[in-house]
Amino acid sequence: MLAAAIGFTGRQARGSLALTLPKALALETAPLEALEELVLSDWVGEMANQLLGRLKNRLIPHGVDIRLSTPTIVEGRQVRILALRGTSICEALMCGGHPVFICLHTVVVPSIDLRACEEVAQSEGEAVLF
Amino acid sequence: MSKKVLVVDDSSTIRQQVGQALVQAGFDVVEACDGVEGVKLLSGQHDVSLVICDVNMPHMDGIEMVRTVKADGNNARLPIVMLTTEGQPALIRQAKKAGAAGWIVKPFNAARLIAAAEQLAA
Repeated sequence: MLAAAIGFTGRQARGSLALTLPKALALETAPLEALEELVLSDWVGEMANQLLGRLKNRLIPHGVDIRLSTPTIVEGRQVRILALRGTSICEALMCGGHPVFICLHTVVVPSIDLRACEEVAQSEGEAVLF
Repeated sequence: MSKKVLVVDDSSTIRQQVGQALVQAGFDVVEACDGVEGVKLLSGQHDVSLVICDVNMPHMDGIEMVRTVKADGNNARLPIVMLTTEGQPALIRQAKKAGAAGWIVKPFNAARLIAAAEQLAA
């Protein structure tokens, strides 16, 4: 199994996201042939980065700004996410017959306010030319 | 003659993915892994028509790279498009103010990326 973990910090929330998937799935989904370990770990880290980036962009309309750290990639036969203080949400999905686990751990300030504000993030894939 | 595009990203898979899409569309591609390498490469190559650049990178981030490139008289008019997971309006405004030509949020759509590249590198 490969796992990519990325931490995030912000004034209102901090935590981490862990994406765990079999190496075979990482190899199957890599945009190009990932022959080297460095390329494969880069790809798994990029997937976790884009996933947490999506969350970051969805928090912007609620006035919550987080900063992402650099991903850390680990490989092991069995990877288990240990409990942490705060709130954890773990989802297990199937992708192409392979299990994928996504765990989001968050600690938020009691005064966090998720009411909508005027700021809207640019949509994924959209190309805006100035 | 093919237009040359510089792709700057600290992720080798993103550089390859973007590079492959551009090559298939008929562009020549050169790569750099951060802003420092990108600026260095541009100082030695004067035939680059477009830069596609990540924002969060080590050593020199994408917005700082835009400022540095725009301050260089030789490349002041070179279009630079940011390609990043960031979609924050304040950051987009910063890039625009620095002189960036556009902003694309990852994961990117190859057809839209190519359409933007063809428009800007013309």
